[in-house]
Amino acid sequence: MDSLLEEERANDARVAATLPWLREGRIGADRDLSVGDDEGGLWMVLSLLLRSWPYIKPQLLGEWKTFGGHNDATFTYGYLPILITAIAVFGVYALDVTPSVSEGVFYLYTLYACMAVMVLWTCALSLTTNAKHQIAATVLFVFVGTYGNLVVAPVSVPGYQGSLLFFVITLACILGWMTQMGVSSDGAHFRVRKSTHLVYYFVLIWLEKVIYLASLLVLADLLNQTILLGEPIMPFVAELIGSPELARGVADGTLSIEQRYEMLWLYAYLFVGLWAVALPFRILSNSGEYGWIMDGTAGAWYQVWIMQRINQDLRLALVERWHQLSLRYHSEHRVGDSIFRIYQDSAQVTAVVGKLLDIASTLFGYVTSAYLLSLFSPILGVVCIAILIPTLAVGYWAMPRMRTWALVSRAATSDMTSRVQESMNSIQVIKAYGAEERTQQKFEDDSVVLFNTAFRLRSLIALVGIVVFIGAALVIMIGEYSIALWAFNQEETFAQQLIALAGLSFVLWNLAAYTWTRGELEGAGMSIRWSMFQWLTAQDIAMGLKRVFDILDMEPDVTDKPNAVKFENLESEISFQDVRFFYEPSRPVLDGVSYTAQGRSITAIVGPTGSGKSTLMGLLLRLYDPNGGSIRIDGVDLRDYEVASIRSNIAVALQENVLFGMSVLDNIRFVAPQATDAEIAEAIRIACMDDFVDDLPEGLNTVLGDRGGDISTGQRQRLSIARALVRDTSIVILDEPTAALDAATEHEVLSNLTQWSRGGADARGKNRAVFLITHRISTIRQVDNIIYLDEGRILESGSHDELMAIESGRYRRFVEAESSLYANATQPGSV
Amino acid sequence: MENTTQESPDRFDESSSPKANETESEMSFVETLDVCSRGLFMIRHFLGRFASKQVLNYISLAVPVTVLPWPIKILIDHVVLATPIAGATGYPPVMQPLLDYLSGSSPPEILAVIVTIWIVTVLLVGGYAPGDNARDETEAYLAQGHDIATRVENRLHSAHSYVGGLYGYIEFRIHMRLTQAANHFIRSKLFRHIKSLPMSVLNERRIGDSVYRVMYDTPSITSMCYDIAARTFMATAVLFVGLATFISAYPNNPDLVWLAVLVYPVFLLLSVPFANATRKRGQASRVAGATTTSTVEEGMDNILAVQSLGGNQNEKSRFGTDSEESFKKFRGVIWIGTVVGQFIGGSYTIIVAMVIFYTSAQIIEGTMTPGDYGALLYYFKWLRGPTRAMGLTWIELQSHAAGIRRVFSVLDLPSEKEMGNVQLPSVERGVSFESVGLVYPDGRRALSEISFKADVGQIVAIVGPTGAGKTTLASLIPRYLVATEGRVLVDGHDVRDVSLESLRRQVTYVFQETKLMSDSIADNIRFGNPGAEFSEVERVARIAGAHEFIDQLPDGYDTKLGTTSSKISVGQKQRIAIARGLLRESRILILDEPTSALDPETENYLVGALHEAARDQLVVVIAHRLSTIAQADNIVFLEDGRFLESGSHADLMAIEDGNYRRFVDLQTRAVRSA
Repeated sequence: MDSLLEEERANDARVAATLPWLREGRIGADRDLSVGDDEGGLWMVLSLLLRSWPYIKPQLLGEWKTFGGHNDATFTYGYLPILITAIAVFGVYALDVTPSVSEGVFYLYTLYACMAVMVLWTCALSLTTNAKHQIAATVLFVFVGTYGNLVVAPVSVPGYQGSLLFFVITLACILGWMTQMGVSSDGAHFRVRKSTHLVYYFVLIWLEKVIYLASLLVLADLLNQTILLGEPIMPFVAELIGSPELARGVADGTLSIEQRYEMLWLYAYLFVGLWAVALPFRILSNSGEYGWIMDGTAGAWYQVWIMQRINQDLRLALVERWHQLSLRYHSEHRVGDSIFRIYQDSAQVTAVVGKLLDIASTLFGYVTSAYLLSLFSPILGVVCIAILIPTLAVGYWAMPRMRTWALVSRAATSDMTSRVQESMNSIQVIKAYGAEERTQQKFEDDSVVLFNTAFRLRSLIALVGIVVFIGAALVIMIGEYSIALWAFNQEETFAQQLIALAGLSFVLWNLAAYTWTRGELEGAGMSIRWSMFQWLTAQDIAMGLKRVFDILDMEPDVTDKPNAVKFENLESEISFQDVRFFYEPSRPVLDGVSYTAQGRSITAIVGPTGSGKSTLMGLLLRLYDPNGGSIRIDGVDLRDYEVASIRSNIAVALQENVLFGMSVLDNIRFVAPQATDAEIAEAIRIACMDDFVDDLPEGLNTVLGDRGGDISTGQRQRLSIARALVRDTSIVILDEPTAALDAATEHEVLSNLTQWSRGGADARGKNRAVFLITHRISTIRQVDNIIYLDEGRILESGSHDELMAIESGRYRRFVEAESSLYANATQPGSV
Repeated sequence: MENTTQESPDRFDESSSPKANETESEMSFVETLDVCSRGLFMIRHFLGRFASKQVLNYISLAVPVTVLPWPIKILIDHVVLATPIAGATGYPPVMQPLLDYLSGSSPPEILAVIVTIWIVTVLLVGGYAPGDNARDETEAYLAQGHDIATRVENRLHSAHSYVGGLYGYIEFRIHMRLTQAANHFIRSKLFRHIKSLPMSVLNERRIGDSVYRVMYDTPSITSMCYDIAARTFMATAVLFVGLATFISAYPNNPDLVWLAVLVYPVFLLLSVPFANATRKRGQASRVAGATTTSTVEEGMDNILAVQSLGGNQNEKSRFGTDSEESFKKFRGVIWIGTVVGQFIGGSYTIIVAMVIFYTSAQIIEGTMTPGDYGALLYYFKWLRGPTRAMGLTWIELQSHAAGIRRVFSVLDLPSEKEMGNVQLPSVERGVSFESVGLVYPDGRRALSEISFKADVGQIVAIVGPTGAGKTTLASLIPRYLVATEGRVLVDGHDVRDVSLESLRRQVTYVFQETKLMSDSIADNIRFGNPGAEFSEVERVARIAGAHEFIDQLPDGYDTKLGTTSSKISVGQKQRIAIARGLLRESRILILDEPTSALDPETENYLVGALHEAARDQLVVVIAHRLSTIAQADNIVFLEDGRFLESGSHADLMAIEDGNYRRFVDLQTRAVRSA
């Protein structure tokens, strides 16, 4: 025991010291990609990010809910231009909007111009169906809307009237997006867009910010000016609390101590009250600065909900595509890779919206800073733009590396997942062959490679961040140097007039101007660094999405034709006509198989291992399509049927008996969820399952372990036969399903089957064709027709007696080999 | 190790599944503490790295406060405002040499020096002023999704530095290697342990669940260690520094100090009621995630069955339901986080309101100046960080605890190795069963009262109808299962007393259902005997009837197989598995229905070859085919887990009314009547 402990300790120490302290580690040429392999670029990354649109769209555009009309009515928002024009014209009178004389009528005209553009926008959207025009109109709308609402309206009309008017117009424009009218034969209807969750979410965030900012302004003023210094109150607060005599400009002198205490109480109430008002918004849209305390759960509940919906759609798309892809693809594909793609790669879709919005808004901030700085001094503007030079240089170097290394890292984690899955899957063999240590070694190798790839990738991100910051800081130094010098010399600023317009009074370079410009400059530098970080990590998102779309882009080689028909019941016959199939052309698996199976017949397919028996049946199921020739059911080519209808109307019991980790009953019902108890009982009877079901602790409701691992092979085989039969289909394929049964049980199962397939006990008279792949003669003798397959060709075909009649026939030799074994075996007993 | 050496009849209990235990049972306070402290104990392997990171971290945390404020102060005071540098106050003593050096310089000269200093600090620590935009931090988090599995990636490689520049880069890399080394360690340990579990336990485990534990539960331990060990140390240090400053600046306001310290117990007390809910939701989320993983894994691994059965839509909806459920459970985690966050945030708002009220009242009374207000609030908020970190430690632990427990509950399952350590010498005589019985944990009896001997040099066939317990019986020899009654002896050694390694080296088991590795065919055959010559590989492939088809493959023995490979047929895979078993050349060879996929001619050949081999081997064959059975030297006939007869075929057939004879008659009658 001590030696074991000793060994464990030594082992622990070895594993703990595997990874270096701060060096890069080996990745291995077979797993690594060179930067030259990068096929990306700005546009490729952008287009990968934008390809997630179909999954984001439902959460952004929601769905239409129609009120009181038919779905066939055509809905438009043609009513809107009229509505908006009316608001624009009459709103001016209703709200008594007059321009302030000092600012001139110029702004009022601008206001009207903005309104006109909004109307035009709405017209364009309501008339055009061209996507490009719609996008152009939307961009114009967003721009003009922001400009009008934030710049023109507040400046041109004093007070809140102008802003209100413009706000109403903008709202009306958005109305068209939310509500549409339609006319059909029985009157007018309208429909409303609902479940536009992304829109709701961003509105929530915006509202929360507005509440926060407004309360911050009011509270800060109340505290700093009134409570701490004793100045009178802001006029509108004074009005609000019903003591207008205390308002600034009305009251003179300072407030008394009692009044200040009163205000302090008011402040305390407001402080807590505003927190309570904002609470519901925060709960939905922001888990608060304490939300991060949970294990990696930072994020708002509502946002998580929306993003999970997006992710779920993509996950399902992936799973669906995998199930459509043929076995040719799957034979090369590792299971752990599927797990990785479903979890990690597809999850990247949820980060796309946030990332793009973040980059856009940061860059917007950067451009604004550059503009403002150039008002102070054109040199500063140039400095601000010059920050881009080192940044772009670093980016140019880093992006291809980021992309390739992200791919390598993702592949390494995927390999590791596969390694765990495969080791667990074959653990029995590993134990039996004493391969534990080797498996462990491979696992640890994979793990080390995984950590090395992630280390290289993340070090790159860190390095790029650091280098970009240093580059930007060095450029900023020039600016800092200059402004400190100007401030020292008290030089004049460049565009004094314009600066004054923006509400800042920096005519000369003074401390305030110094501090302000320095802040802007540093802010611009940080914006660039942040955008760079975001864009760098966006490469990883794009590579994740690439791995998802690579799968989605794979065209399944077995697909439905445009006007494929449904296959339901076999009417007359199944015919194989010169069917050819190969994985590699040089090695045909099936080499011209022609055969016709009638309804109400049982066909046995015999032949040596690897002669193509299972493949032939796979073709009948359309697991693959033949490379030559055709398979016809009732005269219709298999490729003209819907794939799903074929597979759901052919029952199969396979050689490898795959069960799932659910109850016995659910396993039987796996593909026939609607099966009645009587049908299940019948299937159980035919498969001779009664005895072992009775022995299970909870009978049919016993939940099986992974892949049904806790019942014996023979039991699994019978269960999979029952699963096939319960569907009551007219074509049945049994691919050596009885190999693990003893001869007596097998015989019983097969006579039940024969009876059943001929319409037997229940005599429903269904036209059934049964295909049976087997090695055992006991099974073969009962069938109507036997085909002997070797090396992909049918060598002999006919009934048992016919084939036995062929001198030196292959089948006869096969039977004789088997019966001689039997004869040997039974001889002593018959003595 | 004492507990594992207890010999008791219910040893089979070790197979009882931990699943129910994790999802349903509560974790007690003590258990939470227990698993977390065991996790912490793991740091001992990384003490050097951990200490380095701590030291680096203290320094980088201090840099923005101690170094960066001074150059900008010099710049503003003595360049922009142009006050003379001589006699300047408000600088720490360390800055004095610099001030001395600068005194007498003109402002532009000072400016030049400052910019030079800045360039140096930017290169070294990525910062030139204390403001958030003027200094860098180093981190490299990637975008993540919205469930536990996808959020694990960032924790797996988590690394951070409070500064940038060269220093930040080095600290970042050391930190990341620390996290990675710890995660590599715990993953390897868990993986090693899972492999060493008894087959009876492994059969109960879902593969997807094991994948989930190894891949997504293990990083909880590292995160927890870092949270507790590093952050608590850090928080304590910052707290004391902060308090000291606070008290020295405002010696007359002890109330405020207490208010600041109060935050700690308040956070702790307020978060405790949520601990249970947090932990449970964490557990539920992980269980749902593991279930989803299992569904994907099972569906993808069995794609042939799914497609053949037309189960695509079923599988998709099964996955859809599970995936939705795991997302929902994760939202549960988010929800409890939000509730706790808002609740504690709300309480903190009230405390801040109290501080503001208290301070403002003092100012109104005139005992403090308005200038003090800003400074006080600044210190108060500064203290909030460390007190929060400490106050919320317990609730943070809960969120990790679920994952940590899922790791330890597997690590705590006794591995099969821990039963005996006698080295089994090369088997000379054979195997004997002495009234062996086996009862499954759920009470089902599989075997009872089985006694027989099987000697080296024999072919022994285990025969009986389907479900008789043949495979179970054979599994007792290499100890995949352990008998609950009686003894299984190999050369007189009880299999429980010998070391597993030495036992299994001498027993080769060819399973009924074939599992090949995703490797080349040759490597698959070499799996149990990696050093074997190629000629050997070819020889056993011929015996198993595999050589012919392997030779026809374009890449021959180098053909790569996928795990779900459809390149070769099931029967061909089975032959490769037989070849794999033969190549190992162990003293005991067990073939579990090896011939079901073989055509009669190949079988004849194989059985002949086995006779050849059996001269110095014990070959145990489980078979249905009479042809195979009849050639055995000894037949053990089982029915319903009971041992009925044994002897050669002729002996057994000679018994009138014998069970075996009846069985054979039944089989042959079935065949003949057909």
